[in-house]
Amino acid sequence: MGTSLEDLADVCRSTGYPVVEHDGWQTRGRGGAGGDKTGGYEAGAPNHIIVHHSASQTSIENDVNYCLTGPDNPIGNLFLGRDGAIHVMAGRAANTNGSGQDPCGIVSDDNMNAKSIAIEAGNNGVGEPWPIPQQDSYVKLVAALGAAYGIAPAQVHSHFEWAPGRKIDPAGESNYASGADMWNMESFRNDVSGGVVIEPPPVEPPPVEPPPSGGWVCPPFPGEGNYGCSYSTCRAWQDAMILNGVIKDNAANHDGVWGDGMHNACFNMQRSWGWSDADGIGGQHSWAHLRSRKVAPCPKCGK
Amino acid sequence: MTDTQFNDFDPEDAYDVEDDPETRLEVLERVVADLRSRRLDGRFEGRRIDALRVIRNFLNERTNLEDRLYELKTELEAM
Repeated sequence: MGTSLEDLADVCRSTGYPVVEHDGWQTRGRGGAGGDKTGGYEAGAPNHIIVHHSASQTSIENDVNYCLTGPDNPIGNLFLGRDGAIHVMAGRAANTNGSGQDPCGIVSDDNMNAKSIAIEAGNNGVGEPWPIPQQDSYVKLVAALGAAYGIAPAQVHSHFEWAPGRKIDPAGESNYASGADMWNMESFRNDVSGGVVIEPPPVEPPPVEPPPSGGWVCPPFPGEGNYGCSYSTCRAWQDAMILNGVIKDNAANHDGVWGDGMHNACFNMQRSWGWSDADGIGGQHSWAHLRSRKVAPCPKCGK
Repeated sequence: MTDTQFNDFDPEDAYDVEDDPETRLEVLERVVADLRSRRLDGRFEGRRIDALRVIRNFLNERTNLEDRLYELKTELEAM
């Protein structure tokens, strides 16, 4: 069944904009077993935010009603009104992204509905100017969601970035586009980054080739990998463990959350090195041992 | 576009590759039905091309599954 974002309305309220909760949002979702509309998020999700426009010019009531009762509902988790008010429609995964490909390569093709928070926003999509409160609310909302659920700005995409050639949203006269043009998403993401400090995914340093004289240098220790460690620390461990084939390269292993899966993977990795004191905690020796596997003896123990 | 209709949603927006095959086929049936009625409008070419990609991937997945089933069947028969 997966999980629901039970604090979604509270996160939306942190923007300072009015929030309207639509009955049943806590348990509303796409598909699910038997098509019962309870399909929630599995472990590691949501890990993206996808921004849309509605391509409609009607009342907020009509738009939200369509999203909640139209075919393949719920269409989107949230609906952003032209006045900046945020309508909470579904706390579980929704239908609105569909077929496409992830620009940042984390989510597999045609699989974004189950992995993202989708925001629809009222705009006709053919040049209607976006009111300032709506734009401001959009930025603050995405920033708040990212901070609450550990989704970095790089994992915020427009519908047209996910489905180029098939979609154009969001588009329209705004801080991010002129006339009916599609939004400049780099600019939007920059504004989102400015609103709330979110640690970006760590950039994996290129493999260090030992110089001719030897002397391989271990990449800097990112911090202890353990329950409760920061997003960037966990991502650095995940990236290094993927690079060394310890864990698979899939979306769940890029989530920046040190849970039981990472603890067990780290424990098994340490056991595979013959460590009798394996504890599943990524300390300095584990880091040095892991990073040196393919290039040099471990600088800590020489093995 | 009418003044009252929500137009961002197309049938293919309900597609997720991890859904069960019957659900995915049902979505694709609706995609093709929708495009059949719009085929004369060139604006929908992007949707048609994307739907073709999705269906090709679905077919490859089925072919790979079938190939593996034949391998397993052959192995069992030879035991």
